[in-house]
Amino acid sequence: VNGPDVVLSVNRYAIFAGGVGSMQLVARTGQPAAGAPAGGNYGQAVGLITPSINDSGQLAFGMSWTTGLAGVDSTNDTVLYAGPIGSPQLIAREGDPAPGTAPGTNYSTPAAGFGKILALNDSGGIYFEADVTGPSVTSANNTAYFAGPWAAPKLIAREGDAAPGIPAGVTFVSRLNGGIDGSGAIFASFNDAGQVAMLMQLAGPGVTAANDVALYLFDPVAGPVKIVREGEPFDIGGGVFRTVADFGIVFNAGYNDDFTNGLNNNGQLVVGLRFTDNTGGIFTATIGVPEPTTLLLLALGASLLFCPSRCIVTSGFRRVE
Amino acid sequence: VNAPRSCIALFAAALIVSHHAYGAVIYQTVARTGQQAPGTAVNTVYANNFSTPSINNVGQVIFSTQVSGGGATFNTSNVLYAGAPGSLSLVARAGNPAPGLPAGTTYSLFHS
Repeated sequence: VNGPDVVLSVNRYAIFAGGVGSMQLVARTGQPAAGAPAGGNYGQAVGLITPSINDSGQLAFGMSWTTGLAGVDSTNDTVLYAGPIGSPQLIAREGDPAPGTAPGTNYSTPAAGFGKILALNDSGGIYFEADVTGPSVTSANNTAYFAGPWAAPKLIAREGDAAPGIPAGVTFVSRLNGGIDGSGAIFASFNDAGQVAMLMQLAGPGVTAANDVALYLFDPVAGPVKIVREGEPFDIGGGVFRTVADFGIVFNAGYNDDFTNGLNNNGQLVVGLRFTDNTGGIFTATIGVPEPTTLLLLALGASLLFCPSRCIVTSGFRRVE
Repeated sequence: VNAPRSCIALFAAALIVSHHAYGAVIYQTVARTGQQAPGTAVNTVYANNFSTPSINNVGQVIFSTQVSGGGATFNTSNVLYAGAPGSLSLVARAGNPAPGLPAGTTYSLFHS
């Protein structure tokens, strides 16, 4: 902003949000920072992380606090906020314990990539990525992925974690940036059910360039679910299998349903696949997440009914013909 | 309290089934190479080059691809589809008139 009270190094930058005709100031450099110790101010890195706003008018954004005030220094000056526009709440701060990690493991510095991606869904859920530091942290496990209600985000995946659905010893290396062939969005998909879909780079025994990427859905209840992996056979229908090619998974990892996206709010994914025989296709994948109150009924029903003849059940995965 | 053992066994089995169903993946083919391409001449099939697809909150998908056969040529092979799996509609095809534009203006290529 410009104006009579503006000093470039003190209060020039601000974040605004609201409706047309009702925009309001959310935060401004030099102002007292929400959630900060007394005397703590918003710092220069206003808008360090692209803000996200949802259909309920809630906002999430990254910020820095001014160092040298209220005990703030370079080890704890970067923060994430979320909540109503008029009263954002502090949800994560550099130097604070990272949930779901070993004692002593904390959110790391912005230079290491704190808040790489920040997304807010329409249910008030938040997804963000952060580097972590601590006694057991190495370059192989220093990036973590968090999601959940903005007041209580949880660890959903971390570099170095075992990759479920894949032989033992294979681990996550990192999230890939979007569509492998460059045609997809470059984010992680985060839906209103709190699910996150993203392409994961893999490493470990037996992993080569031909099978080092898999698409996972991280479900708040079911955990990480492998959808498809390069180099593995995939049932294209009728019990016919093709092997997914290197660079063969094309997934549109838009932030949420405000963007073109490969994941919808009902947990349905759509993915393009290319196979080693130079054929390809478009496929949907859905994971069943029954409501807790209907679990018993579903379970009883499942125990009494055989799968319909048009379905094929193999290893816990079902195909609809 | 005095439920028959069979009921208890059934309940236990149900919980096990439920546990395994939780997070189970259900796949469905939307389109694949060699299938008849909806809304096109007989023997016009999906080729390859499927674009990055997207899906909306009612399960409808959209993607572009190439077709071959049935008289498709280089200038008419690019197609755009949308709809629910099993009921896709041809939205637009290269070589067809582009609405709202001067006569003779046709679609050329659909980007993902």
